[in-house]
Amino acid sequence: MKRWLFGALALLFVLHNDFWQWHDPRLALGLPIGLTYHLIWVVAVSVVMFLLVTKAWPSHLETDSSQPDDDSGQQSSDS
Amino acid sequence: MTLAIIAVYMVLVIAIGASSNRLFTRTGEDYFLATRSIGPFVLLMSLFGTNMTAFALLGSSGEAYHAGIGVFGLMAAISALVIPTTFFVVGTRAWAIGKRFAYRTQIQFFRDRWGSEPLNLLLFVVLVGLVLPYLLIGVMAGGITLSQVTNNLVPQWVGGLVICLVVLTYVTFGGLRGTAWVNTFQTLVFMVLGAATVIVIIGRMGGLEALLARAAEEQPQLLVRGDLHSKLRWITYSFIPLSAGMFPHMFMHWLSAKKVENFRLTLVAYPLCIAAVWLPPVLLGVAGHLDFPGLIGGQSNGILVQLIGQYAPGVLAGLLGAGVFAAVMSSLDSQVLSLGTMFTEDIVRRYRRKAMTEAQVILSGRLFVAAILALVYGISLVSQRSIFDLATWSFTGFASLFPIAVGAIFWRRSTKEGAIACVLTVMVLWSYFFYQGWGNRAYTVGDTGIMPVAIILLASSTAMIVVSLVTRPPSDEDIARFIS
Repeated sequence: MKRWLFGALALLFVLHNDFWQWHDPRLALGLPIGLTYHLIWVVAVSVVMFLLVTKAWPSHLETDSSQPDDDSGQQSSDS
Repeated sequence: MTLAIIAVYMVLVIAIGASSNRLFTRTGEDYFLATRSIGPFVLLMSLFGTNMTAFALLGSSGEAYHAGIGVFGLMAAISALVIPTTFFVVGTRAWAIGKRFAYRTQIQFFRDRWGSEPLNLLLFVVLVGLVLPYLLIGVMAGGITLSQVTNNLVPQWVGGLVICLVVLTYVTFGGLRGTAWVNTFQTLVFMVLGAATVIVIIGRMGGLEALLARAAEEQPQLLVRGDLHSKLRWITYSFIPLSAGMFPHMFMHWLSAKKVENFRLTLVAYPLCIAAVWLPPVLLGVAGHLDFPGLIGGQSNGILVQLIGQYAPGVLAGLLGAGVFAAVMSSLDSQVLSLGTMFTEDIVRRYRRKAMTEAQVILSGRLFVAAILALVYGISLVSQRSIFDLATWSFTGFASLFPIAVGAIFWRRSTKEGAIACVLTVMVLWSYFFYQGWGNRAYTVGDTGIMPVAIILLASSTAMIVVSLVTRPPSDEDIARFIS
């Protein structure tokens, strides 16, 4: 699932380059077509992000962050 | 009326920042990171508000004035994809590593990851150098806006000074918690006021349909990308939002999250917030070109204020002033606090022979915040660069450093020499291109349409990879601490 969703992000990256309507002066949904296209595109990004955080969330990071560490050598503890 | 509204707004902001002080535990961890306690909504508002500067309101409308609706796709839409992806891939992992090792700055992470003291100093110099122009954007925009909405009654230097003093007050009182609370309030303010401004102005211009019909007749080039946008520039501009992965203030806000789950809301809502904030100024930039044609270069950054002066003076002018101040201060506060944290943690605590008490750590952070604001304010009085130019160059530098974030988190074979080579490559090429592009706001490499960021990022990635491969890798034990 994670691969498919990253694939979707890559596809959206490609689709951002809507060169086929570079000179198109028409309106769509009351706005210039290039603007409408990118508004819809942004909503699509948000949908893919929603799927990423629900289907491919890195839950292990919560555990990783709390692992005991006795060798950080950080200034927060050494100074 | 305008000044009264702005004054009330400033008092509100200070009150919110100061009220966070009652939760202050008087530790460095609390002052710099709110004891890593920030919840999902405040995290979203902080990250978003911090990243939306005056650039998003004034710079974008100014750019749309010249380049039309394509500005939305060029800058806003691509950011809606790249920035949340960066948060997902880098931000969540940086949060986990930062919490595990109690890091307060990204420099601490990179230094420990590769065990390199020179990298500590090198990154400090580069990051501070790149944040400074970004800070200037805010202070200059505040001064310009206050001057314009009051018909030059208030000189530009007063606006910048007011912003610096207000930010200094609530950052000093509230630290990161105060900053996050104020950011939340300010982000909501400039989102609502941006929408209100476009509704009022376009309504008084006869409505959106009439406006677009007029634009199609008088300035049709503004309604398409056409010849106003180079396709190569469009593609290579996509690298600019990678800057969010290397901003010190972003890193600081990542670390402040209480749980990794708190990033979820940010990832989903960030694209929608960007669209909501950028659409109004882009439309108003186009509208402004119809009523105020002939503005040259950075003159267009004041188009929003000119439109309000024409169509909605008085209350709306005051509200817009407050909205711009909100956008400015919600970035400025996090940026100066992150620099104050870096000065304290990466320089003073790192190289001071005697241990510091918590009170000394907090005092140091506050003093550096004050010093940085004073420095930026001083520079703003003599700087003439346009808001937009400053932002793009700052973003270019940060985006070009992104390979070290990826290398540190994901690439086991990366070495300190590779990271240093990456940073040095950025320093050399950024300086070269900045010198070449000085005074030319449409500068691309050799007039090809290719943004400098593409070349610098390619070179810095190559330097990181090649030098890492020919130098001795870190021990497995060292790597295992950071990459499982």
